[in-house]
Amino acid sequence: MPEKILTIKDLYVEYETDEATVYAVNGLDIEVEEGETLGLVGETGAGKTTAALSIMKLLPEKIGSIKKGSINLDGLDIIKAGEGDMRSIRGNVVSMIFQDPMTSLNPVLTVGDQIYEVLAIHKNDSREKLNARVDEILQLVGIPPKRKTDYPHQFSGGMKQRVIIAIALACEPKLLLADEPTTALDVTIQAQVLEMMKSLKSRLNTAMVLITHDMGVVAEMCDRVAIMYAGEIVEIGMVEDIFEDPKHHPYTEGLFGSIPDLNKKTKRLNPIPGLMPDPTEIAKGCSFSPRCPKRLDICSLVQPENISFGNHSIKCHLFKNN
Amino acid sequence: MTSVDNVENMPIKVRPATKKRSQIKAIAFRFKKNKLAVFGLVLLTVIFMISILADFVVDFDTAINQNMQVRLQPPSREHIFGTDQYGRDMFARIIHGSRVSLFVGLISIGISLAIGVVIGSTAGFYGGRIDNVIMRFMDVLLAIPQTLMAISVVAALGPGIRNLLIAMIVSSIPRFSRIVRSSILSISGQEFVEAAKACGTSDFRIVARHIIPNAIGPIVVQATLNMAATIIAIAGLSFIGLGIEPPNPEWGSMLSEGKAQMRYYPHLVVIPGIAIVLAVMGLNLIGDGLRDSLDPRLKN
Repeated sequence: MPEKILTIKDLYVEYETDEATVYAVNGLDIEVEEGETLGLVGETGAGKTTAALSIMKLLPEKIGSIKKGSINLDGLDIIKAGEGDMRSIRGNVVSMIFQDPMTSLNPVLTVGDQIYEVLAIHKNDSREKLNARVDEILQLVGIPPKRKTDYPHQFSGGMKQRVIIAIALACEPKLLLADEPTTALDVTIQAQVLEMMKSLKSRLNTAMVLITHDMGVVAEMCDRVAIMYAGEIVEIGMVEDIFEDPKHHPYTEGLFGSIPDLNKKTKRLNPIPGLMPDPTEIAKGCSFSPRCPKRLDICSLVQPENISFGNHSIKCHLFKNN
Repeated sequence: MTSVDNVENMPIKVRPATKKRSQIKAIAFRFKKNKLAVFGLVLLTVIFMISILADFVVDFDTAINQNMQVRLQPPSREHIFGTDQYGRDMFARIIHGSRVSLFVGLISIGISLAIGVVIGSTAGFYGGRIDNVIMRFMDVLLAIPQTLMAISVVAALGPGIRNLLIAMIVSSIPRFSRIVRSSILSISGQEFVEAAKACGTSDFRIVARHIIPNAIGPIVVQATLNMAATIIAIAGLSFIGLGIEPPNPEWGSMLSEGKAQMRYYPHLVVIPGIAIVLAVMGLNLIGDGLRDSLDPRLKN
């Protein structure tokens, strides 16, 4: 039985601004095992990034706060951990890759220096050893080590994302949080970067939470998939369950329905009607019910519970009696 | 698509062997391209060398010994800058006067820059109440004109080099704090700062290594411009008799002493004036050149 790297239980995160309180994450449950890739899918504003930031404890100061629940990362209680503890695990036990490679690198430091820095913070080693490690990790992500004296502006977008991945993996973390790592790249570079992440991940046995809204990326990369809607997981299962099992949460069906089919001729795309619920209000029943084509009377009144079929579990009233 | 597993075996495209320069060399290289900046640097270096080697060039006594027989002489072979109303050699006075301006300018900028960076980055990085308390205090200092502030400090503590220094430092700190704070505010919102936090970097390291180097442009420009302003302020204070005490030579006090005879003996004010202009111009040119060469994005 592989060890659990990350356990999130019943997590509630809120952003408090002067005008309103935004309920970003509402009762999130996730478990990630060693070496596993979990895809976190959902539309913009579903709370995916918020969830990742709470794992790093990097929610925006003063406005973002964890209201309830627990996060256990490799045996450490994140909620109770102090800033010093967090600092020693960030980049070391858990790393994060941000969405935009263009702005995540410091423009006035050479890429070698930026990789060296993570190592210098977490590893107590001689300068030569660390420098050798910088070369090694650059080689690993497919960048000639001699380019480490170059500045970020001398790299292309795909190369920059490789550098960022090199920084994230330099200390061989147990968990990698990848927040839409390929959204800013074009498709061919996307494929290269994903392929590289996949092989590095299996080599270093790193677990990964991959945040994306690209179902193709999910099918390619992930072992398990969690579909997120309005701050909670509405459906979670192995990739096969999500892509092949006929039983689905209506939202997941909507997501798949909105992907255009190459073999059919249609004039219009099929979006899910309606918008995400206002995150400043908590819905009484199922948060998806206003947009749900299969809505029952109970849906707008009672919050659905998780219904499991082995590894596959769905939060919907439709499957209650099965 | 190539599989990444065998990346070690992949033929690495080696770029034509461009010389890899160290950072300082790269900055120097870019600086050299700016001819005006190099001119400024040469100018200031010459002034510096003269002020350091002043005692070897001309004896200090020549600068303060009065000789009424040769008073108010125009420039000649014997006195290349002429003599003032007490018959003192202007050349010697200019050379020894450079010491005060440069010494006070450098030290006061160095100290106020250091203090300003600490204050400004604390305020900018932590924000909130700390920011408010510090910056409101700086605003109070900033509300008083620099010269007025310097005058009041010198008036309260008495003239002399040490008090001149204190006056200059106190009046420049708010300017540095403001400019450092505003650069830090704009830079700390950027994603690479968050990325650095996500790597477990400490606050001090983030500010010192990620934020300040990105803000170095405006800070350096402010420092050189401020040093130029300080040199002028010292001259101004000496002009109204609050700077260097006579008979010690100083450019501003030379201007002041010469102003009565300006009409008939213009060299009394033109020569110290030119000295001030050259020093200030040299500093401004260097500041401009440094701003451009410190930014690696403007390479080539």
